[in-house]
Order: sequence, then structure tokens, then C-alpha cells
Amino acid sequence: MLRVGVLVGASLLVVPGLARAAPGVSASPGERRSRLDAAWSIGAGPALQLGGYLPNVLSVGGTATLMLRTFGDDGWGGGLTLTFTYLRTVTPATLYGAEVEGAYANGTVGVCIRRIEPFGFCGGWRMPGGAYFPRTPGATWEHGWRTSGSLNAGVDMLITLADRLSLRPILTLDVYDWPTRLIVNKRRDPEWRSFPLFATLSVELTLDFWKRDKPTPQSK
Amino acid sequence: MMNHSYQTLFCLFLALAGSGCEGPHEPVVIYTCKDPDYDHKDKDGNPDPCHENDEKKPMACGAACADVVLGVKAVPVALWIGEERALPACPKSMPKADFNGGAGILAPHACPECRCTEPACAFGPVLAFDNDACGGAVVGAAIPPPAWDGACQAAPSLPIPALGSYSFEPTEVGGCAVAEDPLPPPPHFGSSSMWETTARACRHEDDATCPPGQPCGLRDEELPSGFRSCLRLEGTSPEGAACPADFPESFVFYADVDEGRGCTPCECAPAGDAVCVSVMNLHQQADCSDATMLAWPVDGLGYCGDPSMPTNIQGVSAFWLQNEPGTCVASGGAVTGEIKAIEPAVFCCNTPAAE
Repeated sequence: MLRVGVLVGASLLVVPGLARAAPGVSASPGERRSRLDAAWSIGAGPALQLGGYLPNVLSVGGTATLMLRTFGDDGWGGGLTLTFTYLRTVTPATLYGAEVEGAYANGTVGVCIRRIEPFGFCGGWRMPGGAYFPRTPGATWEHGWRTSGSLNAGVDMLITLADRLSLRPILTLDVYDWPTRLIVNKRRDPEWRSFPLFATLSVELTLDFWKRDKPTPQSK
Repeated sequence: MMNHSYQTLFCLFLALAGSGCEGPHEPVVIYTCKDPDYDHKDKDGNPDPCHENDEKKPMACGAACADVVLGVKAVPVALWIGEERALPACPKSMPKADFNGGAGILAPHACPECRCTEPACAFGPVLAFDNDACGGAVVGAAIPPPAWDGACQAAPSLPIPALGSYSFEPTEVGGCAVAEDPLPPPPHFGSSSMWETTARACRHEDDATCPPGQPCGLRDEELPSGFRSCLRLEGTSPEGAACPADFPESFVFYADVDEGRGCTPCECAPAGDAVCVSVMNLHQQADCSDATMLAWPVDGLGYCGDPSMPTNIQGVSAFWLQNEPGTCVASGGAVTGEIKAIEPAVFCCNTPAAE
């Protein structure tokens, strides 16, 4: 697990270098067109999760992402993402006689690399977050507890809809060390542990609120 | 509650910052009951916050909450059962009387004994006819006044011609009427003393009911002395009521009665053993100061007297030859209809903890 983190971190450092160190994608000046150099964008959209920290199969909610993208002349690009996710269970699950439902929220920092549009490969660290659910039947959701963080990897797409508007589906797979443990009525046995792997699919509508294009080389 | 909310927000803040409030190896405890008894342990010393393994089941809402489903609304009450003379008031902690009633109707209902006035022999009237054998037209009559004792009374319409005759109507048995003895008022059912067993259910001021699909109840420590923790089921009939496992003992009490009982009317009739034989005396003087001109015995069949001559009767007197009015038979005063207990209430009670 630690090794994966190092790899992700390494890619974070490498991406800008890729832009600089890549051999020039030279073309005849007359054929060159303006191309994206960097962009800040924000996006938001619905999300669906299979598995998770609670014994419910499906959770639904949404994500919101702040993203910085840069591209080099060689066509390689990279991006940094900061994503906030909120999900809540769809239907209650029954755990040893107790009904479980709830919600959880957390933030993710990540990085994506892409050779060509629209595909990108992303990795990140989902931070520990808050979870909310009733401890007793009918009680308000007031209990928050620490969930372990998780590493995730996934693939996204940037489908251009307009000049600054894109659709960004992203599918990620999270893996974590410390599962959630739930016990009912203080009984030590049986105990429920969350499966340390879950998948999240979200579709965000992304807006480039700032962008810079590379200047088009002019023939002299 | 407020502390919990602050704790939650604090936890969220710490969580987003990468820390946390509870260690990741510490399991989260959830409960199957609404109000866990957090420190309660079973007889083996194991945690039992929902009293799942407590034979006494002092907590109404145990693990059975999750698997027992009541199809009807249930109201948690403290129920007292006993004799009416010991009926307690609702305690201050549960001041609201949810139910008053009982079971087994005690209210007696006896119709009053029918009584009759004493019978008495009564003289019959004397009718005068203008022809013999009590034929022809009635030309005069001497009607005895009520309760006539036979003393002389004027009879100016009784003269008859030579062919005339007198009809002495039969003696009668008077009296033998229903004594004007008003029926006692119907029993008053306002009090609960009409029940063999009296019941009173008390509850908290609020109108809290059990959560849908779950039984609940009052804790034993909440109960006043002599009361039991019960559920009053709403919207169910005594026949269709099914009690949940935690409240297995069922009772049906009634809040009121439908008094459908009554009495047949009293009637009085002579027994037929009367012997009333009178002698009617007809006088020519209105004050009967002269000698009797005509005298005939009259019994229950009457008599037709034909003097075969004209008379100038002006007065009538009589006396009893036999004055035995006999007996009077009373009938009626029987109970009709029935009384029914109505407005049933179904209670499901837990098993009282052994003292």
C-alpha cells in the first residue's frame, strides 16, 4: 500500500517535468494551432457507490471537484484534483437485528495524467471523513466517527461539450487498510467489518473558469 | 444531545483534517432498542444493553423490538387491576387516566314485586224495564255510588208499570288493581362498582405511542406500586388481538355497559274464589223508612225480578248476605332483555418481575 502511495506521489512530481522535458512536438508553423496550456476548472455532479463503510450495498450522493490541468507540447498532460464527496445509503441494511443507514462525507486529493484527450488515469488519497447514522432505532443522525483513509485509482474522461464546458465521468476503486467495525448491542460476536474495497462512479459537469492557451507560433 | 452534536462537528473537522475522534480499531456500537440501558449486564456478566438475555425483561423494549411487529397502534400504559374498593388514583408521574372500566358485570337487576290493592265485593246496579222478564226498554236505573256500603239511597227513576221488571246486575269483585307503587329508578352505572374486576390505566401527559411496528412500554422502575407495564392496543377487537412476545398476557376490560334490561308490567286479577251475595231492598220511600217492598238476593250471576204489578220504588238499600271477596292474583314484574359490556379495551402486559 505504501509503495502505491509513493508511485502516486512520484507521478505528481513527474507530470510538470513531462511537460518541460518532452521533446518538442514540432510541426510546420503554418500547421500549428492554439492549444491548451493550463486550466483551472470546477465541476459537480451525481455519484453512485458500490460498497463502502456501512453494510449497505448502494449509496448515492454527489461530488464536487476543483481541478488544475496542464499540458506540454508533446501531448502529455497532468492535473491536480481536490474532490469533496457526500454519499448516503439508499436503503437500510439489517445487521443482526439492527437497521443501519447513514451518510458519509470526505475529501480526496488526487492527480490525473493523460496522454491524449479525453482519457485520463487518476490516483489519489481519500481522506478520513465523517460518517453519520443513528445508533438507536429512530434516533437522529448525530454520530460522527473517523473512517480510515483510502488510496484510490481510476479512469476519467473529459468530453468537451462547449469551449469551456466538459462532462467528466470518473470511475474509481478505493482500497483501505482499516475497515469499519460495527457491533450490535455491545456483543463482541458477531461483528461486522466493511469490505476494504469499494467503487465509486460519478459524472461531473466541469467548467473551465480560467484557462491559458499556448500562443500559436507565427511565421516570420 | 447538544454535546453529541458538537462532538459530531468536532469529529468531522478532525476527520477532514486527517485525524479522528475514535480510534479506527474501536468498533462502533449500534443498538436494536430505542433507549439502551448502556451498563446493563445479563446474568453471565455480558453486556446486555437491550435486555435481550434478561429473563425478567424489566425493559419493555428489548431485542424483540426488531422482530415483533404489531399491526395496530399501541399505547404504553401503567395498568392497575383489582377490586373497586382499592382503586388507586393515577400517580403524579402518570397523571393521565387513559382507561377506567372493568370486567364481569356485577350490577344486579331485580324487578320490583308486583302488588295489588285488596279485593272487595261490590253491589251491582238495578235497572228498571217496561216489560216483564227484563225485556223491553230500560226505563230507570239505580247506579250504586263508588264504594257503596248498601245504605239507603234515593232511586226516583225506578217506578215501573204493571208489566215492568227489575234486573239486579251481578255483584262484582272490586279492588284488585295494581298498587300505585312506582318502580324504583334503574341502577346507576356511573361508578365502577358494577364490575367484578376493576381496571385503571394511567399514562404520561404526552400522548406518546409506540413506534410503528414496534412494541414499547414503561420500565418497571417507572411504574407506581401495584401497576403493571402494559400496552393498550387500539383499533383491534378482543377476538383479533395478538400480543407481542414481550407483553404476552392479555386482558380485556370494558369501559361501559349497555343497559338493555327491563321489567314486564304488573297486572292484577281476581283468583275466582270470591263469593259475593247481596240482598237488594226496594222501598217506596226515598229514605227507605218504610218496610221493604221488594227484596231479592243477587250473586255473581245477577237476577231478574218481576213483581207482576206496578210499583213506585223511590229508594234502594242493600246488605251483604255473603261478603267474601276472595284473593287477588298479581302477575308481571319479570326481567326482560340483558345488560352488555361495551367499549372493550385490549391490554397486553408483561410478566411482572418476581419480588
